[in-house]
Amino acid sequence: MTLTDLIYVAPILMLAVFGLVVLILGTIADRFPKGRLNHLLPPEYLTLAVMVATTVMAGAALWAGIRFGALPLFELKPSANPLILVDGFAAFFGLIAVIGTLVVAVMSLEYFGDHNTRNRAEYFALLLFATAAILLTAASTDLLMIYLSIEFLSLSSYVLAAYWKNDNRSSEAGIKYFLFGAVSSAVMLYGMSMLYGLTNSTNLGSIASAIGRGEVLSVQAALAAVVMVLAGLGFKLALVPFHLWAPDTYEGAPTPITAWLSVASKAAGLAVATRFLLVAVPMQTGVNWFEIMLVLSAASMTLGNLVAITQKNVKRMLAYSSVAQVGYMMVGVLAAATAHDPRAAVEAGYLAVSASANGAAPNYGLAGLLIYAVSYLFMNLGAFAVVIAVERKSGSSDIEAFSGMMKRAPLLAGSLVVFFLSLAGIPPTAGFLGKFYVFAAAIQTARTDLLVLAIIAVANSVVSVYYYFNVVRLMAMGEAPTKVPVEASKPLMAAVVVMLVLTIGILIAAPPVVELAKAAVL
Amino acid sequence: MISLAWLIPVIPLIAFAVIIFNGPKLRGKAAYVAIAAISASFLISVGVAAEWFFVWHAEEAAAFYIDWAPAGLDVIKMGITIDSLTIVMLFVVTIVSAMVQVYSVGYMHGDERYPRFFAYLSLFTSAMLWLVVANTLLLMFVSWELVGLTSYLLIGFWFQKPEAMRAAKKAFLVTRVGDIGFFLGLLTLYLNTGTMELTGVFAKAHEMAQEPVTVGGVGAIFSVILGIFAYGMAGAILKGARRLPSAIAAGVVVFGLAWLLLPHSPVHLTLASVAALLIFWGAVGKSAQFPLHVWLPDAMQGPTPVSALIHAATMVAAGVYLVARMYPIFHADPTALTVVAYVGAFTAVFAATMGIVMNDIKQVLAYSTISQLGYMMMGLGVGGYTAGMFHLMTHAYFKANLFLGSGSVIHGTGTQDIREMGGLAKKMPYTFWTFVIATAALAGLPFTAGFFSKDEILLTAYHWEHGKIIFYAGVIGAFLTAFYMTRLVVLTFFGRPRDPKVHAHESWKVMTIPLMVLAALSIVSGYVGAPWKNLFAHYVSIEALGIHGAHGEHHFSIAVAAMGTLAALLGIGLASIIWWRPVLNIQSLAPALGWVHTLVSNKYYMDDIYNIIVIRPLMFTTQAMFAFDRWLIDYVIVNGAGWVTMKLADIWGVFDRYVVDGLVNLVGALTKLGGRTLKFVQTGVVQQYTLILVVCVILIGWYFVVR
Repeated sequence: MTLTDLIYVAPILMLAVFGLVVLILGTIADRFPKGRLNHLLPPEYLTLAVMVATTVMAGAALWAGIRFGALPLFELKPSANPLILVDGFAAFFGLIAVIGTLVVAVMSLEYFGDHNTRNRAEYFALLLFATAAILLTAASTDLLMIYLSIEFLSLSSYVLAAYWKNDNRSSEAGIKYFLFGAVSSAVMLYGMSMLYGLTNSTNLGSIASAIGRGEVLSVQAALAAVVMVLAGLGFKLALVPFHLWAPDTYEGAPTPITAWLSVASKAAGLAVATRFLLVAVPMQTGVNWFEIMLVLSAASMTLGNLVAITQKNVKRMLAYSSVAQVGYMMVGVLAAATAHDPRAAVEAGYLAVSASANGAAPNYGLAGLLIYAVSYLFMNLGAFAVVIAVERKSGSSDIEAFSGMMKRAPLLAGSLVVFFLSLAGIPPTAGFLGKFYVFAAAIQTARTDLLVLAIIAVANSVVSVYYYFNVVRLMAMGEAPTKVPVEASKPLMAAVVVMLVLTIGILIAAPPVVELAKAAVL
Repeated sequence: MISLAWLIPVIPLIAFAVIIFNGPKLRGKAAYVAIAAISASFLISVGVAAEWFFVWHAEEAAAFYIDWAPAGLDVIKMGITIDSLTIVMLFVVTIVSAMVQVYSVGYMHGDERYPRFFAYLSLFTSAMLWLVVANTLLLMFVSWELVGLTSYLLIGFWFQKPEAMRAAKKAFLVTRVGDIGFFLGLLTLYLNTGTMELTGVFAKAHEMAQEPVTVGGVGAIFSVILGIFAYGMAGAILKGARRLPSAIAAGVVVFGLAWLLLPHSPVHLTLASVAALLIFWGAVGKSAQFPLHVWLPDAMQGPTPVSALIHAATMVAAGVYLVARMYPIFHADPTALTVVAYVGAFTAVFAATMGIVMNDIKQVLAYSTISQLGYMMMGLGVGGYTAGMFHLMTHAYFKANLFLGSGSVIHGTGTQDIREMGGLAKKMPYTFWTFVIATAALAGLPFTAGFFSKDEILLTAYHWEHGKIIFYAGVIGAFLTAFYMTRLVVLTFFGRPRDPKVHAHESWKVMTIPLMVLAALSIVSGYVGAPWKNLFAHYVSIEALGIHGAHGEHHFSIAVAAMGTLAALLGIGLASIIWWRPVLNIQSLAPALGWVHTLVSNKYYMDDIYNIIVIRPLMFTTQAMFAFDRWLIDYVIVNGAGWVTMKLADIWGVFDRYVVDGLVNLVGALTKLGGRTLKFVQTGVVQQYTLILVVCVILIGWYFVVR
């Protein structure tokens, strides 16, 4: 491995190594509660420093991925197909996850403010491990590796969700998440074993070429296997009908973890689902998953938005909103699938996720997906940061708690309005940019079914305004129970302001972001 | 250094941001931030100019672009250019702006919004510098609008005075009328050349000059003008019938202008001339040319340093600069240039006559500015690209000097009325001498800067191929200018103090030093374009625009210079024997010239004409709309509909109670059922969740795979 190669894997190594360091230091510090270690190196600040460094490295990895091309790792003999491929696409999602985790770490500072927890180090160490797992997941190109990294990610997430072990709701969140995850992962594993049985390979590229060349017993059997794999990937994405865990877990988990699940963990799901669908079973293989995803995408946005309307708790509402948002993002994947590189079907070593369709004009599907993911990162984290601030002061995350917030905390409430505007996709915010490119990609394909999906998506965007602005209405017009101003701590406020600036800034400085997204999937 | 040119407009912008957000903290220090910023811009301008002359050998324009926004298949670019024209303007803007800001430290001392004043000045300077360096139409338009905005903010800086507020509004709205023209011109060029970059637009200038505008297009312009005319007439008849004669006069003026725009046969217009005329329309608004000059005298309500910077030296000159910048378009078809020449010449004389009768020191200077801007336009119009820009430069220095001097007088005496002044020469020596030098320059006395530039305009006008009328207008303008300026100087500084209440004192050094710098420039700046070694004409020449075969330089002519100088001396002499050594009693002429005086001192009733043909009809229309809204829409339609609805509702109520309610209850029951189903789905029982998962996988598999 050369020094250049190190740039690609540095973020993963950094996260894994420092996860251990945080864990060990934390254990020692817990043993000696009055020791100097607690003051010298509190786990939260060490984690923050690590995340800042990792963000820089993830940026460098993305640069390398664009500049020098993809890097294959762990090439198994005899086929020499890699288990992991760090390409621009994986690096881009890696960067999203790392930035998301950095912000979540900042939000956790406030969240842990006066919770007297002895084992904070575990929390932060798990956060680092889980992020490393996301980076691995995004880059996995082999069924085996996909399964391992998803399990790595899931197991870390279960513990994080159940972090308040003395709190019933948190425990409930963790156990439900775990049980649901275990079943879906079993179904996925079954699907993977079927794929292996059909194609005699676990490598995504080899699977595609085996099916593409007609070497499988039955394409329909492959499709059945794909449906099962989708159950596991859909669980990570919280895609309808695999979303059932999401509302309960989002509500009960510590709020920074909820934010993390909705952004960073979802980024892993997006990356791996896109790679699986576009590389292992591209449209050219004849495995017709397109209609299934079409229906799931439409169902996801419709059900997510409709049920969100009736929610009484902001975290639950945001859970359903994130279910709907995944539906929108899937539009990008579907558009990309129609224009995907035909080489993928026959060339065994072809593993990178790329929009360049071998001469045919590429569409905005993949770039749109990336842009959407970036905007979703900023706006959703921003919204959760405000929720944390309000929750900490009023002790409740019910929508009622936001009543009259415009008077008690004008900056927080105003920022939340912007984040909600963005989530609803109204300019001048990041969400508009994401929706614009994703929907544009659907229209670009000029396929009737995608056109209908785009129309459903736009109609759903309108519906979503209803419940987002219900909160806004309450903040502006509702009676405040007290006049006590709600103030967030400086780090949390900084997170809100930075997210606010980015949410608006991305649209104003759109060209570089769009160019970066295009380059990442070139 | 040239690659840092983008910093020139950015630094004042940063200063603006710093001051506006930290005003209360900075207080008195705000001025230092602003002055430091403009000094930095000036130094970078010097560096840029040096590099352009000595490293680039002043051969081609240095241009930098960034891609700003993808628009369809096109990418709209933003960029800056450094060439001779830009460098001239950079020096004018940075020097005058720096002097004015130093001066303002004294003039605005103790003002409650002191920091904000400097913030606005910095914003204005930044916008003006953007306009100067811009090389795409869009960036020009953006900065054009920005200078308009800052002009509005600064005229209304003392917004507690209702007149200032009204003046600001008037300036904004009237220049906006011009901005429409600029925008239409921009669109015309963009649609026909497909690019916003000036070089790209100019490359197609000749093509556009070959393309005649169809009769339909001209008809559209005609009908718009006639429409405005008819609208004004109708409004006048309905609302202000007793002022009908002035409305008719206004109509005739508008119609006459239309006739002038389309000489002989309307079909002669080409695409190039239409675009050029539309852009000139914008320049007319910004440079206060007839008939959109009415805002500038009112704009004198702003603080005097603002009048010096914005309404004398820089922003109002932006219109002239715009015509110069777009000269290849104007030059491609002579029709537009002819219009520019006539409008400029008319404005030069027209405004000068009003300068004679004003009694407010700043009003006199305001009309003088309009007149001089007309002079510049006239110079450009007769083909004197160099002459017009040269006069712009020299005028900026001496007119800024005059305004700052008048500010010093106002500061020292506490009045703006020259009838209450007199005898200030001894009490305010620095102000007096600098004022006299600038006046000499404005009157165009030999060996001042104004002489060289004015002479060049007259020389070009003399050699104009379409007749001598413009030249004579220029000579008359020179005479009138000398006349009213002598009157101003005599009434202000000579004789005895006429008002015992006024106790004049000289201003601070911080105010007099800028005056001296500008007075020096009022002499020196002319020598870069002296006839014996005309550096200015060498660099800022029509050839540099890539236009060849035009009439080149005209050689210095003693006769033309003598006529110009004689006219000026005649004006000075005549004014002297009327007001200084009263040999000629002006009062004795009153019976013969009284009506002229009334006409001129009422500004030719221009404000009233606008009031009748534009404002009143507009107000009438809005009131009519309001009444329509109130009575027809609100009363008849809305209330009527309400009444009908209520009656119908009574009838339908019965239907409703028995049929619809039944349906509603059914829907409610169904929703409840749905809710129960939904509740069943999200039970919180995780075993059921997993069951649903498995069932869904099986269902999907069954439906999509097996079917």
